[in-house]
Amino acid sequence: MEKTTPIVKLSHVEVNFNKKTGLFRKADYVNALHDINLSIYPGEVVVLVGESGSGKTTMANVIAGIVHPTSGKVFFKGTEVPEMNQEQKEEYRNNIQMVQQDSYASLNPMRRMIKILGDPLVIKKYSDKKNVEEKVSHFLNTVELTPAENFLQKYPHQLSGGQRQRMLIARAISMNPKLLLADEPVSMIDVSLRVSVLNLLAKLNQEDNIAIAYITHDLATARYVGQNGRIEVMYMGEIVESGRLQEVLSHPKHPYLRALLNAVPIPDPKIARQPRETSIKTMEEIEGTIPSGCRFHNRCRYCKEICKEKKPAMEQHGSSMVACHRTAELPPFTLYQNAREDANLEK
Amino acid sequence: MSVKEPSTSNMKSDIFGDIILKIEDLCVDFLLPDGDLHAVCHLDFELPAHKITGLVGESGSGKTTLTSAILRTVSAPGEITQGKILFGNQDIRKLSEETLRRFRWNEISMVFQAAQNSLNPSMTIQEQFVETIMAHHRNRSNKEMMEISRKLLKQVKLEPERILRSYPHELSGGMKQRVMIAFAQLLDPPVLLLDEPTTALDVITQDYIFTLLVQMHENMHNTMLLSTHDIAIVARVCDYMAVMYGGRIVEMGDIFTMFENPLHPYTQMLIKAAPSLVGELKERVAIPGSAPDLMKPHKGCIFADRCPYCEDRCLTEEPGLEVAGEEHLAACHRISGKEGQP
Repeated sequence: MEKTTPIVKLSHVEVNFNKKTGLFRKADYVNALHDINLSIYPGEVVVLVGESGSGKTTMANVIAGIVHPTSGKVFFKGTEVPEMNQEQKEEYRNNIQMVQQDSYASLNPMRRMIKILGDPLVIKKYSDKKNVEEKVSHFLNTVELTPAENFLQKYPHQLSGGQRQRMLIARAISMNPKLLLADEPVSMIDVSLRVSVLNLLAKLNQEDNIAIAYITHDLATARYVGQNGRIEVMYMGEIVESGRLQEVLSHPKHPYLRALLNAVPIPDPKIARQPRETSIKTMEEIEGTIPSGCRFHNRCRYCKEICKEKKPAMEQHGSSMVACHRTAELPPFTLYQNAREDANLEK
Repeated sequence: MSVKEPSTSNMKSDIFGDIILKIEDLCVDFLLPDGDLHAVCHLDFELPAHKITGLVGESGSGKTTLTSAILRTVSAPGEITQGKILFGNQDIRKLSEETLRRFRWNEISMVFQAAQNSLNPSMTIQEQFVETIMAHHRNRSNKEMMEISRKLLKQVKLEPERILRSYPHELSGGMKQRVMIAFAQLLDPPVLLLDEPTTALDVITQDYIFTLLVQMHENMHNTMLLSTHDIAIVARVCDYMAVMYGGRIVEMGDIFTMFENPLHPYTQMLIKAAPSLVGELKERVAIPGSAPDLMKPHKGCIFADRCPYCEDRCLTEEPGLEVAGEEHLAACHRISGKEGQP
């Protein structure tokens, strides 16, 4: 893995959004991403997890080149994005495709499926006009919309939510991408169908070797998609923990990830009712501004003086990377079991 | 004001003990230009008193239609065409407009799905609270009303002084949802309907809201009906679970029984389909096929075309809800012969 060049590499990326200001107020900005380092290699699955406002979607937009970083660099296959020539830029845009969250809003309601899928193929010269139907059918088959003939002439509103989501995936893979950015692809579809869409993503990853960046707030589906991949846990625009997903989820280190894991309901009443670590404050209970020191310290149960003053750096702990001053002192974590040592550590 | 008598549990059901609401043979149809859509179809349901019951189903299964039918707020072209909704001894369908107006919120209140859209954007929270109380109890003093509002907001862990003065746009999604929960308790109704109260909220906020709801329930012993598509939430919060499919209740029972020994194939598959943080990943299987078309007339079992155990009988004869055990009802032909377990 190490020797290949990553498809995308973000190096010390910082994104600030300007705040709307009044006539007499000083210009202000919101820090959406802070010092992000991330590489996505061919054929791997990377899961980005975090609450809303943690910067997941901004990160996807930076990767796709929709948002330009305020500082820091984005590399595509080893070349820095602003320095790419026309050809490379084209390759960059084709190779990274997005699967959006809201399938209804992201498909043109006035166009039939054959047009939605077919036109890009013709424009990008993947197919000529005569064979376009055959090509489109091929992609519909890949995403298991069968028989394909039934779907070619349909409008988006004639499809169910799950089918539309598959359409989005078909549209993305038709450009022969190296990386799929899937931003909450299953949050709008029914639980009974989620697994099938997730399986489809896994299949594309394994059979066609397409790298997948799965962006979600739902750890249960993250575990499903990223079973052999990596996870990056985000909080307030920073990555706070990363590593192999299986390892990170079974031995979570950062207090934020532990709190997230505790908050996910388990579909089994026996487990779901066991006593758990007490939950942390919700986002709205803390002040809106970004705190000094560790950005999580005002919600953290294990906060000490050092956390308020000094920003923790990402450090290796076991097989994962964590940004927390107190990693070594934290009690071991088991999902849904009250760790006894907890009481002593709390202030 | 004499309406307000805790009319709890003068009804008994055969298997769920005290019940507070009983629905018999309810049909809700949407009269569309190209035919009638049977959103709720000959549905029987009993709501156990002082318990939290979860109503689970996919989108389009009729959960929202059922809850809005209970308050008689089904909007046109929808119409309750048949059946009884019994609360105590009165049939909600037969109430006059004025008694119905008093009945809503006083006896049964509701927390709606999109809290963002349920609050009036041009009024402060305080004005909205006062307006609601005034509409039901004219002779309350200002001080009294403020006291109730403060108490309820504190119960959902909000700062009353700040919230009461705020307009909805000044609050975050989770706060608005908690305001709505306080709102629903304003007249201290014995029954609370919650329609997907946490969709679009973060997991930590969601967890927090359910912790609050369970605490409130333990303090007040009210009855809750929580409709959601997320089976994991039901597992965490509810005492009973009812599974809805294609406008019908297909199975209902005690939460532990439902998860350990589900009898209806749909329930079994629904539990298997839910992604989870624990357990084997390979065991998760999606349900094949898609939701039934409720415009078409149906013969036989509504789940037959997706059911792996479908028999000839399932295609011709519709199964009714039958007692399948202690506090357990299911509508499937295969359980009558006790061979339901695959």
